[in-house]
Amino acid sequence: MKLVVVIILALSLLVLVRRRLLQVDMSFPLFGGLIILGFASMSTDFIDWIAARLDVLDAPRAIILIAIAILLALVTVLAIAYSRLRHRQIMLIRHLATMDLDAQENIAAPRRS
Amino acid sequence: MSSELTDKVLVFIPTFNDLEKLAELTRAVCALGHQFTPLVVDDGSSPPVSLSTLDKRALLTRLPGNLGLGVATHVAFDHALRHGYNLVVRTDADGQHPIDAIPDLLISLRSQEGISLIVATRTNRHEGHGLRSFVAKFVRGYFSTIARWMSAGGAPSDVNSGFFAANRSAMEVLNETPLEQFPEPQMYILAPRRGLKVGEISLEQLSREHGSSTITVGRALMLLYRFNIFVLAELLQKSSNR
Repeated sequence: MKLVVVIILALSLLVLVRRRLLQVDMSFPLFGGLIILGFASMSTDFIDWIAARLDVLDAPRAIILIAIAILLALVTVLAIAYSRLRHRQIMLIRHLATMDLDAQENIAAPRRS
Repeated sequence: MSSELTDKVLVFIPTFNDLEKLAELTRAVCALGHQFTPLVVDDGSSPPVSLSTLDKRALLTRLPGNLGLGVATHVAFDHALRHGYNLVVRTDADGQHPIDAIPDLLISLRSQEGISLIVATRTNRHEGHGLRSFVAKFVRGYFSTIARWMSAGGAPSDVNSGFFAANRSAMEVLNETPLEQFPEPQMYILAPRRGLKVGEISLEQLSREHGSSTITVGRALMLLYRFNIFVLAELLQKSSNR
């Protein structure tokens, strides 16, 4: 059942990418998170091993810890993407303002002289 | 006095919903002389500023949303650098900065050796009563202390003044760094740290006749946060450059 859920989620991501609702680059950390949480959490040995590494007494809670870490990483990736977009938007606005003012300056120049 | 100035001067007036005094301000700037051009940067006002309400020599650009004073400042610097303006003056749209003080500001900038940026320090900035005024005084004191320390005494005593004049070197240097929503402390720290000499003159700020300050409690906290992050980033940059 777990495998079916993972496959359905992976296919959903694929559909989102194909319909251009999600950029390929942005889907990468989501796929990564899905693989780690979906497949790795199915392995009892892996859960026990990671719990021992992280000093987590109750082994299944290690998965919650990993899920939170992945979510934080995803939020950080999205925040970086947003910041880059914001910077590009501002550069574009400055460029448009320059063009707008160039036109006004060219009209105003003969009036001033 | 403005006849002593032969430089091409761009006086930029950023505005966000402060429309009442714009026509009067642009007319006052044009009255200073033919070398003065007013530029209104409408930072997403609703309703937007109309060019027909301004003096016929005024330039106007409308930004698609409230992007902050930093972006408005970049727009003005970009335009001044492209069109050969020797000097840029920033004045507020609420009419608190006396337009007739602009020639004095520029003459001080020109007459003091090596000055690239001059700031009009408000002599009455500490006036006011109540909790808001007390907090504002504390924050201003904090900004000034840090600014003086960061710039080895090169920053002006009023690092929140929005009334300043800059020459082309200052515009070029300040245009290299993305300026924040309320960029004054950032600019007045960056300038001396990038090798520019900053001067100051004293000036009494006029009282506000229309509207209210855009700095709310939330924005003030954000301003404080941004300032501290900027200071830490500058210190980190300095240590990584060593």
